Amino acid sequence: MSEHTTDQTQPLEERARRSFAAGIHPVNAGHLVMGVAFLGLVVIWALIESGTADASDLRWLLPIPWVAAGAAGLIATAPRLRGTRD
Amino acid sequence: MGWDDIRDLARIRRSRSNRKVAGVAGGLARHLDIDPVILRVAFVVLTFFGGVGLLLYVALWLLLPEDGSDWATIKLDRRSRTFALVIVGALALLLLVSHGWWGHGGGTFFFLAVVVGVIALATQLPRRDRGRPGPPPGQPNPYARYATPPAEPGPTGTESVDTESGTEQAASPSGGYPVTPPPSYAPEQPRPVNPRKRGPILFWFASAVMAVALGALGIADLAGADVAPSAYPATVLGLSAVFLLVGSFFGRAGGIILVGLVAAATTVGTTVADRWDPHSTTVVPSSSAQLQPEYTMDVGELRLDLTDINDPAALDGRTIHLTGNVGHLEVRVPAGVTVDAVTEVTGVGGINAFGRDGGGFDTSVTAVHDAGPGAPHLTIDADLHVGGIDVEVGRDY
Repeated sequence: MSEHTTDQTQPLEERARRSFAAGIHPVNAGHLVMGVAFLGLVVIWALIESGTADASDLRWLLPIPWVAAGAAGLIATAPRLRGTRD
Repeated sequence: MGWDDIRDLARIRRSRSNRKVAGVAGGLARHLDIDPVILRVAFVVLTFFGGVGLLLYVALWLLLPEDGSDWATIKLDRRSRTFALVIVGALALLLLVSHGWWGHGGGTFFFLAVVVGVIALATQLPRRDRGRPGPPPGQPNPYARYATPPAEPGPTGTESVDTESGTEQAASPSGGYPVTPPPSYAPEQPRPVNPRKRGPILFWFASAVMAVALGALGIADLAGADVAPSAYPATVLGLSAVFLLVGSFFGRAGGIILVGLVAAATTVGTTVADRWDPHSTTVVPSSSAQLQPEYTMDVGELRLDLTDINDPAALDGRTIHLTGNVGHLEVRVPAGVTVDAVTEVTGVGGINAFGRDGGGFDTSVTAVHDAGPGAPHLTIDADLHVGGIDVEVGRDY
């Protein structure tokens, strides 16, 4: 009976671990870039809404998320450029 | 799939195999080598902006031939069809830009657009997954969706294929095999597995988390917490960011970028609408002592009525400055005072000062109301960025 249980649970745990591992993939630069950009926009919104920054600060605040997103994208894709895909 | 292929608009065909209505999105997506769901959602969302999406869809339906055909409902040759498609695209862009959806109250449309977008995705995604089985192992050249099928290894001759015109010339010195013309597009091959599209689809989990977060925010709002209107789209934007960051390493985050873009636009719209609430102010001083040398407003309307001033003689030599950002400045002066009105709208707007009109971009009008010799002399200096300025002699509102 106990042997039967271990036979059933072991593969289940193993399968869950494997399916999680199977979900991990090489970095998707598009999603990374937009994720960083959106995160930056939310931070700016929070700064404006909390009164920490005002509308005049938007001139220098707004470019920051895009610079950060672009930098993240460059870092993510740079190693791939070294490959010989084409 | 190069840029030249994409530019060859005459090659676009409405898909027979991948269609929900007329195969427009399926065919376009195949041409651009992107997921048709993106285009379907885009068509639906654009429909909310002046019906652009619907008009575009119908126009493409009429202009694009189906798979295997060279003639659409509107029969045009390749060159004319390309030209017509460019015109349709330009018109759609013009309609979209002229719609003015950044104005106040646009948030409602954005929310509506998000809801419809989510519903559209809900109806499309499962079918797409069912209809696209994974490629069998060892699938040869699965990228060759635009190419002709691989030629049979014939014993003689060579074949040259003109895929652009859909015709084929056989040049087989010894007769060779009879060659059948290929369809404009070869039968759709299963897509190769993209290594970055692996693992669970995050869209539904993300939607559920967003729904819970919005609900919690709504409950807090109802319970009396100080929740800004822009907090709702900002929450969706923040969660989109989190799930995209997760999806860049784990699972598939397809569709969340679109949700984030819509949430970002809505956040901007609601934040602006919330902070720059236009209001109207009317100032009616009863004596020259109450009259301030300067009045300012941000957005809205400012009315300054000087006709109730009981000592107009004391106005002699004074200058009143009025400045505003966007809106309407209105000044009413007593008939017994000589007034120099120096007015300027630096952006777009119009001016009427004592019957003298001006309008357009960067307008200034200087006008004088002459109350006769010996009358006190007042100067009104009004500046506005966008809007209208009216300076007139006493009359009831």
